Amino acid sequence: MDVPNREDLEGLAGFYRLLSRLWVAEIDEMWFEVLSEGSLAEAAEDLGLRLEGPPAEVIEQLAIEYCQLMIGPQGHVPPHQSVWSEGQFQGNPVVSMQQYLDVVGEQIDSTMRDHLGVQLGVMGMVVDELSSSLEDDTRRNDLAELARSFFGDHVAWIDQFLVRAGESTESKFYGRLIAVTREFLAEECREWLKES
Amino acid sequence: MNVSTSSRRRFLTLGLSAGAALAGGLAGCGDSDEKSSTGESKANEDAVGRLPQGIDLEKWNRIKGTPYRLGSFGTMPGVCQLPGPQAKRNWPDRNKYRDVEKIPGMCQLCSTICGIIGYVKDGRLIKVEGNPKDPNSRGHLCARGQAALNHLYHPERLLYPLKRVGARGEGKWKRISWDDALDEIAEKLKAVRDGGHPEEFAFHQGRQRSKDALKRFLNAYGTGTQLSHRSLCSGNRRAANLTYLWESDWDLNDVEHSRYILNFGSNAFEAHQGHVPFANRIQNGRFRNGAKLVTFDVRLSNTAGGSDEWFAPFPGTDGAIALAMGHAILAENRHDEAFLETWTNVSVQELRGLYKSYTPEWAERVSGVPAADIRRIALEFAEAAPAATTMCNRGSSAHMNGFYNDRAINLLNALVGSVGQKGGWCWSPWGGLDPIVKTPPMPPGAPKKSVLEDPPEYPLANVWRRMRVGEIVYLYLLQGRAKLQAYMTYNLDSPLTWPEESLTQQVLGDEKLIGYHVCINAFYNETAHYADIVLPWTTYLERWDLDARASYNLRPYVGLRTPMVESLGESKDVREFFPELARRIGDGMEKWYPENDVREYMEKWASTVPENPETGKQGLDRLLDEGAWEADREPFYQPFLQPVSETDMRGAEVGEDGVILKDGKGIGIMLDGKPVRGFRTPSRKFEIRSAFIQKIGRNEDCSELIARSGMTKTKSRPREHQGHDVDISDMPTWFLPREMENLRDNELVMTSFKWNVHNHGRTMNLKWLAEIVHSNPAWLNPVTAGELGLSDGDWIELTSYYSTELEHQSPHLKRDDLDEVDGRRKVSSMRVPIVTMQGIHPRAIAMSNSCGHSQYTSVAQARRQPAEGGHLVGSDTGRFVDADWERNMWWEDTSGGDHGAWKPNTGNGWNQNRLMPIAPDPISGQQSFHDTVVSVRKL
Repeated sequence: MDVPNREDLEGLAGFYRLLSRLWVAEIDEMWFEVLSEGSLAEAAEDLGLRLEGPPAEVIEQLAIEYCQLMIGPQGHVPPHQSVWSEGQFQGNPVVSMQQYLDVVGEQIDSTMRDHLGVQLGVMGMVVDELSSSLEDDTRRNDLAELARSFFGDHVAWIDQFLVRAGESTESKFYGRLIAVTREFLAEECREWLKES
Repeated sequence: MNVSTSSRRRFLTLGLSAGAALAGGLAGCGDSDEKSSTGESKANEDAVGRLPQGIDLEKWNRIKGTPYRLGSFGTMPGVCQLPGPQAKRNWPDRNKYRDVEKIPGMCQLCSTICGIIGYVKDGRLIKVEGNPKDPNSRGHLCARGQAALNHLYHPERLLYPLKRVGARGEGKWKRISWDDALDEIAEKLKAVRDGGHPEEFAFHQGRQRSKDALKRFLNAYGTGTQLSHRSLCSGNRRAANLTYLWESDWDLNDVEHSRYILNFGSNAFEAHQGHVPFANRIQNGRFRNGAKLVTFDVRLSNTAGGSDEWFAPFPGTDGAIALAMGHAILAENRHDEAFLETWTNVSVQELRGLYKSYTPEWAERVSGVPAADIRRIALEFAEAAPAATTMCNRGSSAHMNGFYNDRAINLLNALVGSVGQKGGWCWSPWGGLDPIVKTPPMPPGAPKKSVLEDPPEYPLANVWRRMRVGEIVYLYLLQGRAKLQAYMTYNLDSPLTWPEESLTQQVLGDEKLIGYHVCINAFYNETAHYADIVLPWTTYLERWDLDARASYNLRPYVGLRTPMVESLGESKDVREFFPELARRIGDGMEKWYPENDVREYMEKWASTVPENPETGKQGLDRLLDEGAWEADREPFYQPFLQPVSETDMRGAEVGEDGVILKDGKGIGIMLDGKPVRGFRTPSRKFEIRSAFIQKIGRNEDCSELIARSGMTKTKSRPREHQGHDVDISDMPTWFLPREMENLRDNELVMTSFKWNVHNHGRTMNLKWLAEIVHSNPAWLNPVTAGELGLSDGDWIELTSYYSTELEHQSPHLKRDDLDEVDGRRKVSSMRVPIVTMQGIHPRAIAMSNSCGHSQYTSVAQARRQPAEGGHLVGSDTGRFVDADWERNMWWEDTSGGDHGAWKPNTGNGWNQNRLMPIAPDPISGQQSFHDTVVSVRKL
């Protein structure tokens, strides 16, 4: 990638982490607050992700929509890479993810290892580390290589999921989250997977 | 997609704002170190503020050259690469089994419980094979067991507790934490208990192998309403065995040492409870001893097809054939006079009287089997004795006359003296699990029984063992004979496996009849669809049990089921969450769970397993090492000859009939002046005439008979059963259910069967098995088809009728809800295609069970694309990639319901239980799955 400035990388890392959190679990009271009136509300509105309405009702409705979209028990779109690559849980992506998680120093239970929310979070951690290593050429290059490798192995696949998820959900919030994530990852794909 | 600079800027702006709030590690991603003891969901955890561990670039630089990367190490075994372009790529993979950990366990994909070895690599199970150290299965494992990987890693497994958010049965859910789920369940159960009617909490199990864990919870709670499917399975066989033996409900035919095996309707090569161990020994008997296998079955099962001779009798006439064989044996004086006179409670003269009218010619008239063959086979059987045995199962017992069928069949063994003999008809007093292995102290049972668990109309359902009458549960609820405030289902798929699917669905969906329903299952099945809370259950590859099946070595053993891998998602076993639920309900329940974790409980339970001198390991450690332990003792042959010790004889009294009583309880019988154990019956003999069953049927006091047997757990019928008398013949007999007496030209008797790759309701979701068998057109004899103007592949409409026999014998069932058609009560209609084949009796029609799922994953429904209506179907495989389904689910039915466009062997089949009426045998309550009269109409 072109040498970005530190602030852009911090923003990138933060956005990965935000997406990670929004995909990995339902919206809870704290995140409802954050996305409706809190520190992120204005920026979230810019992307169509601002939440509004009676908190309890909105949170309940979003929990139902999250469940229908990714947990099931029926008609859902599993957010685990193994299901997309091998048609079952605990495929090789889980083993590969464990290697990356060892590198980034995280322990995640085996089922969640290849969950797209975890994968976006790991990408955020790598980019975050990169943002603070710009002055060190060796470390910066190693981290960039790690980010490229991880993106190719464990982030690029997510678009397949998002396409199907977008066809599946009627949820306004998750529909928008799908669109935003797709848009973001398409740009990231160009950055991380382009010929060097 | 065109991403503008402004879009990117907006992402970065939001990211910068979010970054501060989300600095640190992975937010709410399920850190394994933080998994709580109660397993509360991480879903709503906020990980803000966690510090990153730091990125280890040295580690990255070490692994990146030889990364464990995608595509570089072949494929998981769950992925079938045939016949795609990548077929056999990297095959064979010599590294596949390098560095694997081999972990013993026990299968549970059918009821046989074979020992298995799991190959675990990188925390994942990659292969399952039979455990050669398992004394029962001896290293063999059937196709079902091989499909363990499909089961464990199925992409539509339930991973999280779910709470219903729409109407019951609407299919709308949200994820909840285990804490929330257990709090809610505890509150509901506590309210039922505090209301003074704990029996209004029912636990309804399908196949279960954690008896101790269920009993502990239910006893501690105080409910005896534990419902099961035993009466849908083996009630009559068990009752017939118990009538003769009292101490065992399970005959263990010593086929490995037999010279003649007489099979009445058992399909041991495919689906018997002892399936693999039994089939293996049958074949050993045949190939090592030259044993002859003769099968009577209305259908050419794989067992019948593999027999030396097969006869297709008219349905339900097994007992008539057996009685005629007895007639032939006595007529030719080929009986074992000494055994009969010494060890049975009737004389040979009395037996001649019993058998007099049951001639082979009579049997030929009722069964269609030639009298000459009946006579010949009877004499061959007697000639081979004592190394000769009968075997029977649901084929003979799942009838309204099934109790008498099995009584007549079993009696053949006494006639020829093969009872308890090597190669003969044997049994064991143990359920399988070695008696030295004692569960930690158990709470006492609940005093009050529900009519659902102990219906007074079925005298032999609960006297020796609690067999219950499962098929009446939903009917009795509908009729208001019992009330349920709370209902917990466990590995149960009653809409598919219970008779009268529509009635089952109606009751499960009615919140007035079932106030609160918690479903424990690994998959979203037809029962879960009607739950209020669904709890994700572990598979048998992720949980603990001590387990064993009836031992065909005739000596007890114990095997271990152990978690081979980390449980998927937040799935949990009852051993994990029952203690927590008990603590939340409180009021003393919690004291029955003193252990800190499941492992500690298992260590206590297995503590008496002796040391292996070679390894120095004992108890749980030994089982973890070997998977199973078999007691070092002689096989249970001729137990009736075992001497009674001098110590036991001290203070004992011998009656005029030779029965030895001590403290008022039978302990043996005198034989030639010496005290021996005898049979554990009131007469201490093999009871051909049973005064007990006759008295029990009449609700007379049986306490003296019970005392003489020494089987003190046997029950007289309680006072509340008075007035529900049933006539039970004290001697073996036989009758034909009246609806079968004069079948009309277009009427047939429906029978059901299982395939060798499926169990009843839990395997059609497994793609390796579903590909082999996924549909169940009706089998019809070509002669019958010709008479009805039908050809192979034609579609017919089947209409089923309620039993006229039961209208007479069981008026309490009151089926006024069923419409009357042509003087009979119609149950239901269903349209199916037919296959014609010689392998079925001309007056029978057969459909396999296991098929026709409306839930239970998309594989079970044979769907690649979502059905219209969405929420009523299973997971939508069209929305994610499974190479197998995309390429290989060739059996999807694309006809859209157009029979003309339907292609044979496509689709997921039909649920036979839409047709089957609720039909409990009036004596034991066994569901008469093989007696339903159906009319056939060509479409």
